[in-house]
Amino acid sequence: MSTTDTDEDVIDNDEPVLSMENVSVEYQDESILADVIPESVAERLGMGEDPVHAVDDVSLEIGEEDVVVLIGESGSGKTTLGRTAIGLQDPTSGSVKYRGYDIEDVERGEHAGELYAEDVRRALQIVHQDSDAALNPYRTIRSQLAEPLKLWYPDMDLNDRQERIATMLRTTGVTPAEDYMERYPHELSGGEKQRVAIIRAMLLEPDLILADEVVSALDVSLRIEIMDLLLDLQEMFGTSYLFVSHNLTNARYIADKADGRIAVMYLGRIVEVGSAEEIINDPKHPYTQILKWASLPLDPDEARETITDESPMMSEDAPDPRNPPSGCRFHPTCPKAHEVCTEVDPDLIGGEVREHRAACFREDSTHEYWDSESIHGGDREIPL
Amino acid sequence: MSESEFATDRPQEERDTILEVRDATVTYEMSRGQARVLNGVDLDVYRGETLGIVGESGSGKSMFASTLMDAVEEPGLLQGSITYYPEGADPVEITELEGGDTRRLRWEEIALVSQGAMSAFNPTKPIRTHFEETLSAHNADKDAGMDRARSIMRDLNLDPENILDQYQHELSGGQRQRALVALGLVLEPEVLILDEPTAALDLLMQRSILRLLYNIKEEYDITLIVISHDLPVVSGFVDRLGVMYAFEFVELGETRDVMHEGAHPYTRALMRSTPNLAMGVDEITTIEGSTPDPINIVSGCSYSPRCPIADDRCTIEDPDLIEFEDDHDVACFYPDEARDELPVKLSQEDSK
Amino acid sequence: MGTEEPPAEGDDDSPFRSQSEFDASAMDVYEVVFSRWVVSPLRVLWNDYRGRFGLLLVLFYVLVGTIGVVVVPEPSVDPINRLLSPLEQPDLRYLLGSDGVGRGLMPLMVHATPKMLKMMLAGAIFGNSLGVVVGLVSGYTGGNTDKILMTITDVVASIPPLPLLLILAAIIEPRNPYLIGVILTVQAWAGLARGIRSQVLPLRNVEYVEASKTMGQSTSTVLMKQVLPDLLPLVTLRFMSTARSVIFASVGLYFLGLLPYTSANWGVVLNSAYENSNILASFENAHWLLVPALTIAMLTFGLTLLAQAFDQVFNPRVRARHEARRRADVEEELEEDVDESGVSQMGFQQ
Repeated sequence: MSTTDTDEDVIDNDEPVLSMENVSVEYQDESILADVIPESVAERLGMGEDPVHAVDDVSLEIGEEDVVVLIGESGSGKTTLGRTAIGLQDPTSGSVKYRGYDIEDVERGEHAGELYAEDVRRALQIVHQDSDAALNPYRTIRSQLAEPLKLWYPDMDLNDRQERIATMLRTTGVTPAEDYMERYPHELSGGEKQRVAIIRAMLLEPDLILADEVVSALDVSLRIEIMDLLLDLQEMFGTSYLFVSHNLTNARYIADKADGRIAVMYLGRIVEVGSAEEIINDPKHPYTQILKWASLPLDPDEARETITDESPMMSEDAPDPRNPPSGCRFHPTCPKAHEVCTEVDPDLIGGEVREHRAACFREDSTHEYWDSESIHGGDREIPL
Repeated sequence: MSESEFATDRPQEERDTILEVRDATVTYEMSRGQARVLNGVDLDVYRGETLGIVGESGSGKSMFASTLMDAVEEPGLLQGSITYYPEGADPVEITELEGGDTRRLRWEEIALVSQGAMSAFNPTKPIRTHFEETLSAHNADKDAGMDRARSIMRDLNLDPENILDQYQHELSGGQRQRALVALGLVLEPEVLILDEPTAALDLLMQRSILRLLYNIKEEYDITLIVISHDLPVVSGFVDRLGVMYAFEFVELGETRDVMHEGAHPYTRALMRSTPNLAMGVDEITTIEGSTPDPINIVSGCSYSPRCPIADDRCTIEDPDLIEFEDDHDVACFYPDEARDELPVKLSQEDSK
Repeated sequence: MGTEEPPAEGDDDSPFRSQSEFDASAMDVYEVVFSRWVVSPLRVLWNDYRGRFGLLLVLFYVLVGTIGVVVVPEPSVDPINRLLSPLEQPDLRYLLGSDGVGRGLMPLMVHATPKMLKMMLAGAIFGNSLGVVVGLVSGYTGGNTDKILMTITDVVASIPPLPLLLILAAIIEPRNPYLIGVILTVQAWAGLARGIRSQVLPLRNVEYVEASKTMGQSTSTVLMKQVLPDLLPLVTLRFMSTARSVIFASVGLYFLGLLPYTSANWGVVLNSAYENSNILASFENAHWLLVPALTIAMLTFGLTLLAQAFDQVFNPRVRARHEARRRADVEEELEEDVDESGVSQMGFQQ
């Protein structure tokens, strides 16, 4: 292994920690027959169904101590994009760069001497959603947490590792640490397991952690605790987070507290990106507006009123990622779709990379959208 | 805008009880000791109302739902009484039913749509088969039953011709959930229990389902019990709200009262810890402490270890669920203090 | 709860920099490793009545096979002392009686033990190791490797066992008991490979395996540390059952004349007894049959008990209960033993 226990980053330059440029990820669903014949033959015979376009031409930058929340529903590609960002998934096209170095190039050994594949691997980590499955049920907490240390800090001896693990457990509130270290995962509660999974990722001192729906499975009161913990750890160590969430209120909580950004995804594209405040208080893309409308208020009277509201969605069918709609993918559902929306797919409009942008022609006051006919018989309002 | 009233807007005399639960307790013998997963619950469910039950995981809500159908699995032991009052017939003591009678009760009178819509259907059989089997298991007229099923599915925005012939993996999560609800309604039960109907669903789908369920509630003459850990889901939907903590109810009353004027510290803490777009992020707080252990039952009030206003009395005596205000029961010795010391803000207009 | 005041980055007090004041010596490390991997499992086994009994039984056989063969004289043919009943003669050799040609049954059993144990060990180790490796690699790697390996496995599994054994034994003419054991299990690994593979398949994408890969762990380590623990109950059970089946399979080889007749085999003695003791007519010579039968049965029993007890070691729920009980006991003893760093000695004891 090429790194040691130091404070310095492996690479120190002005490039963003992670940058994804025009990344697309496609994958094939295999037919059953393909399972029993060699892959090359299956390909030649053209077996397999249409490829699923999980992610389509997405560009995103993540800086130092940054927080980006990917929010979307199932099929939006948010999980695939997250996994591609940390190298668990190869992009079909486009490039993923770690501090300016294309990760695939590094893996091929092209930057030997400056950056190695192991360094990149270590810098990008994941915390899974399901804390039950994230910990090996057959091993004690201590042995699972010792693993990253043994792998990456060979200078640490038995006592050092013990001490480091105990301290980290205490820092995250899993106490008494000595007691918990010898336990097996089934003896821990959901929240404790999630904390251990977080520690395991943190012990490597990575530059970026993908937090894949890490609070979705937890009780409401625990969610806030865990999100606060992640933010505290960020202050302590300075890692960046890429959160994936399907819940707008959770996304807003963490993006707001961390001064980060929210990126709204729909069918493989980022349709809006901005700060928490901008996305919640001034959503520009109709999909974001509909998401906000769909987030139920807590107040019972307000909630009762909105439940019976007519849905602003023009179509209740979930679109098929294998066969995305033409032009702007949201047009079948969008209450404000016009003719041009069925032909052209908008890019993010509205400013510089770090500003509030939306992939909707309505952002451009001079666009031919305004001359084009509505396809749903007139624009509808989205009650907010 | 809806014209319906909250069921509790109707005068008290009009409300009659359809289910009466008295001292329901469920225990399990474990190697560590005896686990009490439901602790002496008393509750009345009124005919035609929509009752919500909220609580965190492990609070006993799903167990409570199981007891209503006498569906507590071995080796759990259910004690207490659960009386069902069918319209125009003699009351039935559910815990004393056996065999065929229990089967008849379940699904024909009281139906349950459980958590985990994902694996409720047999993956090797089309949806249609599930309906047909349910109908024949209860000796119901198959043709009339399937017609009913189709009509219910349409009410739930499902295309019966499409859905009935598909297999469960061909349906989306939202479609599966709705198909399950249709299955629960096909025998026209008096009571329908929905256990976490929106968990694991996407945001937009959650919204759709709630609206559809709301329509069902309006059109069908049915009593609904909705169990959820997600407060916003139930807040606009249910007439009365019960809050469960540590295997018992700590508060019960009209939704507005419980949420705005909650009298139990846990209820108020729950309101404050639920992230909501209307609240500022700094106004959201967590609940300190850990979830209760069914084996080591705390003496006194089970919430006292985590309660900011608990005093010595709370660690010795366990408060009962008693009427505190009109139609508003709470299990706490200091409900007024709870209101004073723990502010709750549910929306931007709230200035309490 | 709540986290403590976060120290600034780069601060030596940061939890990410915490280290122990004391260096662990090589002795410390050996102690810990020994205690975790040897002492702890043995203790769990001992605590369970099945484990205890199984361990003792197997140990007994090992002792017989090592020390016993030195102490007990070799069996010799003695026409005068044929078909003696147990305890009929005050001679060590005839403690359990003798067979049709006057050989003492106890010496027969004792002197067959080393060979039997060697055969069983070799067979069980060979059959299972190969099965595990093939199943692991196949299930985890997938793709073409999986397809090829499984095809080979299926072909091997479908070869008729008896002809295969005949051919192998005729060609190789094994004399070494280890080799005999291997030949007897030459097909056994195929079934296990299939079984292991199906158990590995769902683990390929499970989150904790992915977490291990993400942190940069090599494939072989992932297989050993993450995937293998899940398979251990299955493997242990198979180990014991393979050992058992070797005993019976070996009898066949001797009787088919593929190996020169030897009385150093419990099954062979059992078979002789069946044929020559007239057991179907009278119980007069029953001891001839019972002694080898019980010898085989006791070892089989011991192995089965042991296999069952191993579940306690591998099953995390049961293991956790053991450890919790132990911790509670140890805590009482070591309450005074907290050293200056504040880290209780308990943390280092298992």
